This record gives sequence, structure tokens and C-alpha cells, in this order.
Amino acid sequence: MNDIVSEIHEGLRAWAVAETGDADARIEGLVRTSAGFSRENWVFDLVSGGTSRPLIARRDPVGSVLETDREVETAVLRALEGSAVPAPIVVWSDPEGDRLGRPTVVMERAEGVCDWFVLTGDRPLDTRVAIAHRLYDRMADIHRFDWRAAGLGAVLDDPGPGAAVAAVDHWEDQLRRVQLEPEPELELILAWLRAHVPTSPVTTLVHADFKPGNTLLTGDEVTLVLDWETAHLGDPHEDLGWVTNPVRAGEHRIPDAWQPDDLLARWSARTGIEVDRASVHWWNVLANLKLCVIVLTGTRAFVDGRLDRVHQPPLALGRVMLDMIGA
Amino acid sequence: MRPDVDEQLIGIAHILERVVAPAVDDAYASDVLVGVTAVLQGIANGWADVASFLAWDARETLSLLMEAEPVLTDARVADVAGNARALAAEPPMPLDTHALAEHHTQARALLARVAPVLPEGEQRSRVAAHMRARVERYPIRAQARMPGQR
Repeated sequence: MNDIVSEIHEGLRAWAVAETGDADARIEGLVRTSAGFSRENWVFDLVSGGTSRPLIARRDPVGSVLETDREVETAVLRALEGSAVPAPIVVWSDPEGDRLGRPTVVMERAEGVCDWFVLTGDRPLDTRVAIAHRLYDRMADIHRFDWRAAGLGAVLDDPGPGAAVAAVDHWEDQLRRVQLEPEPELELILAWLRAHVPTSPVTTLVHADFKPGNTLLTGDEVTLVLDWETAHLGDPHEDLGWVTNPVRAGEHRIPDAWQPDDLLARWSARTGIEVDRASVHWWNVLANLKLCVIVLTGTRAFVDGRLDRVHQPPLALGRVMLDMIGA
Repeated sequence: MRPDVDEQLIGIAHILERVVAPAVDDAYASDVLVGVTAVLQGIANGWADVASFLAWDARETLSLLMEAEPVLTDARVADVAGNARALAAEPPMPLDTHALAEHHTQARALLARVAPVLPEGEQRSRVAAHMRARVERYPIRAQARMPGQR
């Protein structure tokens, strides 16, 4: 066991003893998985009171492609417990980072397979279409979730009709904090976004990174929606723009069988919310700006010696956005 | 100068692939190693073109900014064309890569100020065309791989 694994092992053991009251609680099978770009994922079994419980600890890294808040993520997950949205069950949360040196959330480890490209995989076409229906119905259920009744208004800001402006402000602010050099292409895109902001028709919970790679499948059923670290209140068109982004077609579409028109029609029927096509287009552009800023956040963390992955400049995304805005 | 820079970078990438990668059991370290190897190969394929790219991109950018002067009526960018002329008049030594990078950054900084306020029209189209052209000429490419990507 190397130093970092020993350190995490000891931290988890002490945490388990404190949470369970069992001085003999043990941590077994601790492994850091390679999945995910934004968090350290440590899987392990908690052995206590004669039972073994599979858990996963998601710890903030030193550097990441995303900078998010564990307290907010925990609040969202706890609010979703028992709802129509299958989300991870939070077991322990340490947003201050007292237990493992950095903010960490421990969750139940669910069975299931994560397949980023399930929609273009080896299953028969009708099975893949059925999986697409289940996937994006879960996304619609996120937008149908009654966040007010669940008390999320106390921990999340409601941007109201100005959700698009709030999103541009957020990602521009993040860009300013991480950029290492001038980004003329992104300045042009930011100006276009600000000149064309749509109005949000309704405030819903927004996942903000919905994709097959952030779900678990058991057989052909969608049993869990993962990675809630960027969830917030906003315009549901944000998620629609994210999943219909042409750049991510390989993850979200099935050629000739599941295209944006199919997705938007099904989503509208399930949520009762009318789709504003111009708004979806605007959020498509915002989705790519967001991807650029995520890459630049990773670049900044790498240059600062806080991230183990090297990102090249997001030039291709810049070109896509120029096409999207007709520049 | 043998092994030259290309040979050393490509050789190191091969060593990592053939010798180190099979011996790495840890899933996270193995995944990171794949990325590091891909970047080394990308640098090996493109590093020699970095200086010429920086010089070309800066030259084209400054030229566009000077040509755009008649439409730069916004007070916030009134000084840009003049600054571009001054920069263009003092190009860096072609073999001084640090000076090339600094000159390039200064040119891009001017364009970053202009891009949001450039009115629609021929000059804006030419700037956008250059933005597309530099994507094609960018010298270092490393294929990013998503988890589970086939």
C-alpha cells in the first residue's frame, strides 16, 4: 500500500469509526478508480457489525477540470432521495475536508455499468432506442422534480428568467480566473451570447452534465444518475442544449433513430414544457463555451502542477462555435 | 545532434508504452500514462512547427487589426490599430522562441479586445476566417480520449 492509499485508508477508517460508533469498523478493498476527470473516486467496502457495505468516496482533487461545492452537491442528493430521479445515496459528507484533507462525500456504491457510448454500442437498435427513452425520461424527471417542496431553495440560488445571463456570468468569471493567455475566439462568443440571451420559461433543477457516461445501467434499465456536482437551479433548456450539442452527438444520438427532434418532442411531452428552439441553440453554444472553460481549467491546474492530465487548447470547439453563431 | 529532439520524444513515448505501461497495475496511473504518452507523441510530431506557427499567427493577426482600423470606431478599441502597427514594426528574432511567444501573446491580446466589438461585415468575416485557419495550422495535436471511448 503506497503512502496516499495508506493515508486515505486511515482517514476512512477513523471516519467510519466515528460515524458507526464501532471501534472495530474496517475498510477493505480500497482502490482509486480511473473514472471521472473532476473528482478522485475511491471505492471500498465498509465492514462493521458483521456486514460489508460497498461504498465510494468522492474526494476533491488538488486540481480539477471543475471547481464545485460538495455542500451543494450533498444537499441536492439528499433532496432527491425517494424521488423519481435515481440518484446516489449520501452516507457521509465532509464539505470542510476535515476527514481526508479535502472535501469528500461518501456514497453507496451501486451496481450497474457506466457506458458512455451505450447508444451507439452493440445492442440491437430497438433496445438502444428504448434505453435512450429511459435515459432522457430520467433527465425530464429531473426537470419535473419539485425543488421548492424539497427545500432546495434554501441552498441554491434561483436565477429566475435570467438564468442564461447567470450562466454566462458564471462561465465568464471562471474563464477570467483560469485563462493563461488571451482568448479572442471566446471573447467573440461571449459577446454573441450576451447579445442573444434567451429568457427562461421556468426554473427547474438542472443536472448540467447529463450524459450516458453519467448514468449506470443494470441490464437495459437506467438505475442511477451520477455526478451531481454541477447541479443548480436554472432553465431546463440548459440541459437540452447540453444533450443536443452537435459536438457530443456520438454520446447522445442514434443515427436515423434518435435525433434531437425525437429527444425534444419526448421531453416536452413528459414535462409539459414547450421547447424554444432558439433557446436550445443558444444553450448549444453555451455548452461549447462551457467545455472550453472546463478544458482551460484543466490546463491551468496542469500548469500549476495540480492535475495529472495534459489538455491541448480547445481550438476545434472554437471553430464549432464560430459556425454556430454564423461568424 | 543525434538522437535529435524528434527521436528522443518518440523514443521516450515508445519506452513508456512498451516498458512502463505493462508494469503499471494501478488503474488511475495507467490511465494517466496513456494520456502522457499521447501528449509526448503530439509534441514530437509538432514541436518543430511551433515557432513558424507563432510568427505566422501573430503576423496575420496584426495585419487584420491594421486593416480593420476604419471599422474600429468603438472608443474602447480606438488605440488597437496603432498598437498593432507598432508591434508589427518590431518583429522578434525568428529563432528566439520566448520572444516569439511574447509577441504572439501581445497580438492575440489586441485581437481579444477587438473581437467582441467588431461590427458584422467583411472585416469580421476575415477575422473569423483567420480564427478557423489557425485551428488547421496549430502544430501540436494530442488525441483526447474519453473513458470507454471506442
